[in-house]
Amino acid sequence: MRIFCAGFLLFLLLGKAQGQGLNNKIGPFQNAEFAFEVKTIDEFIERFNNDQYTLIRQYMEEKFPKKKLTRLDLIRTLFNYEDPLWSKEDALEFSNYVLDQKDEKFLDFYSDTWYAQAECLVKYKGVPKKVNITLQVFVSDRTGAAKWVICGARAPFLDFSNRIDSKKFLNPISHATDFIGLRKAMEDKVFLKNYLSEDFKESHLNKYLAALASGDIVFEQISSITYHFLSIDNWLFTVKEYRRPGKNSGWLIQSLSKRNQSEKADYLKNNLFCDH
Amino acid sequence: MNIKSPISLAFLLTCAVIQQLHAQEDVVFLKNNSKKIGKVLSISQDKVEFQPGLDAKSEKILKSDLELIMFENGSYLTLPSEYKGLEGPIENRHSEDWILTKDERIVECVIENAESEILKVSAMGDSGKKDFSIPKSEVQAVLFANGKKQFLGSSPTMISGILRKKQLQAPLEFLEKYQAKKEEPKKAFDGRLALDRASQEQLQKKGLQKVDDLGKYLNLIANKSTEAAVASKVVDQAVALFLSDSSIVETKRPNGDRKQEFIRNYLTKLRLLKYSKVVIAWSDISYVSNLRKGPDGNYYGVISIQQKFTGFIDNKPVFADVTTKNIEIVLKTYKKEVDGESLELWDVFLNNVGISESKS
Repeated sequence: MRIFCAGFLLFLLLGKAQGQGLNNKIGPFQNAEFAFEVKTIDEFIERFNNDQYTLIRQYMEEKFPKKKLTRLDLIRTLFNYEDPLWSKEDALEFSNYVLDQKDEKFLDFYSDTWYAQAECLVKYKGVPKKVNITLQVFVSDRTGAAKWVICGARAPFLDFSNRIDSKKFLNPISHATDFIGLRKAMEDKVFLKNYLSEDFKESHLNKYLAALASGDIVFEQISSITYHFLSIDNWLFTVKEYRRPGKNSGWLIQSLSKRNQSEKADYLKNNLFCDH
Repeated sequence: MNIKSPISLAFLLTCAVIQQLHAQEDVVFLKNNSKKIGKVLSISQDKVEFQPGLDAKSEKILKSDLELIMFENGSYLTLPSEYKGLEGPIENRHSEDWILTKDERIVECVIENAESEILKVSAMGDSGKKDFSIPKSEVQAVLFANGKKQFLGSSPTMISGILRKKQLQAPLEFLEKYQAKKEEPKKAFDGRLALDRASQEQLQKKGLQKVDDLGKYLNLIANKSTEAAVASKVVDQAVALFLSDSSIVETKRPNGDRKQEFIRNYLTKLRLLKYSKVVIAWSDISYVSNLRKGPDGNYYGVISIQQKFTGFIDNKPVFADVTTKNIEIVLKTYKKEVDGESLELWDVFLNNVGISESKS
């Protein structure tokens, strides 16, 4: 059995940046780091899928023509090796599963089973807050055109109070007084949930959009992005950008875990807040 | 040197920057079959001012003694040329590689490899990637979009004649008989490509060319020695590389915060930097993504490239950093009336510019 992170790729991945002078050239070592860095999620997907045209393959063919890069080599370059949130055993099992000769697994940019989650800084009534916005790729069946669309948002500071008081409700004869108690109920903001159906499902996205529309929320900037891939059967992994010198940098696998369909559905609801 | 107009200054500065970024040089072909390599400084009604080397003294050559000038950036000037006042930068660069055929026509294509005696070529097709293998003995010359050239034994007079006539031949009409029998590599999933590979490569190349142009403009704008009027014109030229004025550039503040600015504002502020001179250089390798179709019918991709920024005060470098820039490129189609006929044309524009990493 092959050791997961060993050999030729390890040597290449562990290279560190040399100190930079003030000369004007971008030296070969920086070029090497650039070639290895996973610069965009597109490049991540290309490497994962063993795309014959991806930059790292072209670079290696030019610099090390005798070394034949395998798909496993490329997948190894996609893991974060500094303080990883994945185990070597899982990584090995995952790689074997993906590389199964009878049924190789690939990532599809146009699939609806991967998501980008942007942690955003906003001001809510003038106070700095954080909001998570989840996006996914939508493809038109008619034209084949693609775009990113927002499918979920989570702004915890907009959550309704969950407090329950069994004495607070609209009594069953309220209709007879033309719901005279409704006004009082609407002023009872802490206990609003008492006046709702038990089936009520709050939409985090709707609340965020309403606050945005009213001007209560003003968008400032994105502070970080995490990609969540739920498309490989029985596995879930997240990809984050690691901005640091060295070849093990850029968009890399942050975490990897086994998840069945039901667990993925929960993840979609509780971590990505998608209103599907 | 006598700087006669803003255009000539821009031209000279561009030449200077080009010299810094590339090892290639301008080549002047004389009628006596000799050639000179160096830098064209200016072109007047009857003379070309030419500097044969970095430290060499410039010389003036009569235009009547010249056959052809090939500029390092892929532009060319055939002689005699119609003099239209002071000649600025030649703007007849081609975004595709050119094969000059024995029939004295020009074929646009993508040269994959020209190192051996067989040219490896691909071309825009309506379906799938088509590769071609052409013996060099069957063409007159190869002119690459990036300015490199192989004359393959043809005389400058012959090359000049073909360029002057500029008769384009449909690529597949010429290439068809050279179609290579290629064994498909083992399937590697490449997403849902709406454009074939040859088209993608051609468009990616054009995008990279625009990024290169942007670098040259940035150098001109940021340098204090560039006159204000020239810088203002160069800002306009740089903005024209972008999809619109509302394209956004992301920058990083010293405290690490990111800031977004519209392209024109960003370029204008470059003039206000504290440095007397800045040099902006790109890495010689870059990542270009596949192009993806958007709902507006345009195609979108990204070019990732490293940019080294060096700031000088009194000619001493005082600050340098390397950042990875992610530059969106947009392939936009548009309609143009030519001789009463409506043609659908396309061009590649730069769009939003993100910053992915900074290494000071």
